[in-house]
Amino acid sequence: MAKKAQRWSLARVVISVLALLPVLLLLLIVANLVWSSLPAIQQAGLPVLFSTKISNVFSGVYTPGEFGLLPALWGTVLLAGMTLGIAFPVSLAMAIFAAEFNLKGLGRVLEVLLGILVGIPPILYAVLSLTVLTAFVVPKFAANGLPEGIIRSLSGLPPYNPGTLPRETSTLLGGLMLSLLVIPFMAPLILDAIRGVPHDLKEASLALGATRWYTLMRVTLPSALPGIAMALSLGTLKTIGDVVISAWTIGYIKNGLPQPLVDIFESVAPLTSTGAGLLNGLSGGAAVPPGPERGAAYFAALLLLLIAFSILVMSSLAQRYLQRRLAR
Amino acid sequence: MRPLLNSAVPTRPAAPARPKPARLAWTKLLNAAAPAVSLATALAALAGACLSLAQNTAPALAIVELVVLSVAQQVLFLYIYLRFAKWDFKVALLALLSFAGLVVLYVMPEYLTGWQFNAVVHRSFFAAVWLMAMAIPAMMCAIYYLAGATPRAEDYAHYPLVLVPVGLALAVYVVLIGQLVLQGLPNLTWQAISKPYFSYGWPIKVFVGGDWPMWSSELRTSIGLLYYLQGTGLLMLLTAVISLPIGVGAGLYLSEYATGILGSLTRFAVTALRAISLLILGLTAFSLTDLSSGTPLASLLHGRYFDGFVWQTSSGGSFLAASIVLSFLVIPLIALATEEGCRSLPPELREGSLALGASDETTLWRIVLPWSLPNVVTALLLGCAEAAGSVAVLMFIAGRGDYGVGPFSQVTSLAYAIFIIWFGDQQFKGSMGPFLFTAGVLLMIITMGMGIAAMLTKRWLVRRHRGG
Repeated sequence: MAKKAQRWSLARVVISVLALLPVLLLLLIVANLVWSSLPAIQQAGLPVLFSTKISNVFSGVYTPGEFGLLPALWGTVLLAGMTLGIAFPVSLAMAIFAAEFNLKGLGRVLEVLLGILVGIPPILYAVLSLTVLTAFVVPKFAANGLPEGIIRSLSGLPPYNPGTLPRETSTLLGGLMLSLLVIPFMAPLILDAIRGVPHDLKEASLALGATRWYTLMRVTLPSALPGIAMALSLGTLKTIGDVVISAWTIGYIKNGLPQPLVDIFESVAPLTSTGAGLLNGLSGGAAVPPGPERGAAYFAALLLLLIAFSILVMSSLAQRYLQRRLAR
Repeated sequence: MRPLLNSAVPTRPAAPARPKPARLAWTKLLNAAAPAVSLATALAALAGACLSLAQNTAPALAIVELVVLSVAQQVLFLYIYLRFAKWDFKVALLALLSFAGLVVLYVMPEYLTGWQFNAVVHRSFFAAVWLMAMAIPAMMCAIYYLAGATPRAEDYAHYPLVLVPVGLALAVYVVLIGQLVLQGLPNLTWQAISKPYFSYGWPIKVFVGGDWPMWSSELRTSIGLLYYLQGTGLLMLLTAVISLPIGVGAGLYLSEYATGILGSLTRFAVTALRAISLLILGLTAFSLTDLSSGTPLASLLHGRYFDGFVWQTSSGGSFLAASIVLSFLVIPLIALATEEGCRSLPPELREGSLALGASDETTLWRIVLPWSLPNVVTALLLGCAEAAGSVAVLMFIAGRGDYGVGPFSQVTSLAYAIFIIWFGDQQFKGSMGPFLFTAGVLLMIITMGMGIAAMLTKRWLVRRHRGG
């Protein structure tokens, strides 16, 4: 659309002022995070913030002044890996089914279903994690049916008792529920990327005698790679940004790194729920008084912000690189 | 991944015709039988895998299925040699791996542990994984040879690879939502949604007349979800009112005027507001109320309640504060949708309007904005659903809604009620515990209703405005 020099009408002024609000809001959010996390950085220092020792009034042993975020950082990595490891192949399969294997119009039905499922809020998956816990995770991974003493000697997990479900379970459960949240979010994005591939490319491949599967693997998916990378990064952002599911299924505070580092059966709280736990998100209003501990909660959020921005920047760089490689 | 089966594109020159093996009479009979049997055993293995995932089965079933699968693969292997005169070693490998799996499963103890992992794994999980890993390639091979080993058969052969994960995922969703409805529906009575939860000892004023107010003790022991439902509605309404003008303005700016550094800054801000963690928004909401205490803004941003004698200010945030922060989430949604709608406007319409002498402003209000209306309405409905389902934003400022719902009372919502039924104090948990899944069902109805309404509205408006 040709942009001529437009005069500043009233509408343009109003619209421009309204459009500046998101910029202002973002600046205020970032400034508030930095300003509020200053007490932690100044009074406790970065070595304490990046240590592995952390505790608050809700963890078993409370030592004031310990709020190392390294376990939480590792928990975020572990949870994101677990979630995307499940969610990405499934959403890719869903997108391929809807775009290329459209069996008797079932792909269209799947699209509508995804549109409905994407609206389910995280808190419902958190509630449903109780069902998954009793029906799948505990029987399969927590030795339902073994005598209590043997369980304790084997694993140190609390014995399975439907009456008193363990509140903090495992990264495994968190990853399962989060992947249910992320699949309907990521699949339509991948579907859009696959649909956006020009028809000429596909038709040329098919006309040369390649099968549909071969075309999909060698032509369509490589051409859709920039869009797929974007979908993956947005899914990662949704995964690491979620508070409720991780707080409900994994827990708030984890002291120390898990012993085998990739132990998904332990509850390694990610940054989000650790931040919520440090500010005492359990009972609204009764937050911890201002000080380094509250600052540490804001510092966790600041770390998340930095991670999110770096993922955004990296994904746009990757997108540019992939597009340039495709254009060549 | 290389295609599992032979690719359609012939890459090497045709081999010299090799002598065909003598065709026995029963080969014809076996033409369809061997792959069909193999397919049936693979399907049975898939069903067995699902069963093993659903409950802790004894290994006998999985072992029998693996034996049958292995035998079927061996038969298929021979059949391929007899019919196509080639050794398909993938099938042989499958037979071998199935056999290895059943041996491992036979010697495996019931619970596995080791490497200091914080769990003991039941062997039925291993059985499920192994059955699944065998069943899908077995189905692919069987379908390939059942369809005649042509290039088109290769397409058919890949159906299981795509269909099985999709089907399993959808089955999980169906089972879980079914569980939610099954456990929540029995408690979904009129009483549950028509009465508020009220816990505090002091009575509620019901009538003000003359010098002395009248008190009632009716609500004292009341248990229900009324205030949470009302709160969810109010939250959606306030968020929509706040975010609609800003979102539409930002969207129009992005599509009409965004140039230079300011334009890209706005675009980045809109993208980043969607991408940042919900914890950040929750902490922002907390800061908003926390920093405003002691200032004149406190009466707007802090939840206020009438305790029977005077107005009190709680430390939590009001509906207004929560809606302001929730609108940070909804503004980018509306802005991006508006921009997309404006960009889809055919240039002829705009040029026609300008050519007829309408000013830029008139064109904007009369042509561009109505055209993008379906996108705006859809995004608004989805944003409202997001506001209804959001807990993280309210987590640090919300309360239990003991004193009713209004723009300046302490924020509460259905989603937050679910959260504190699980995490709240024992008294609340004890009285509201049965409503955990009921509140979930109500929330699901609200959010899904908004989603479906968004879909229908978009179709309806698109048809009306664009004459499609």
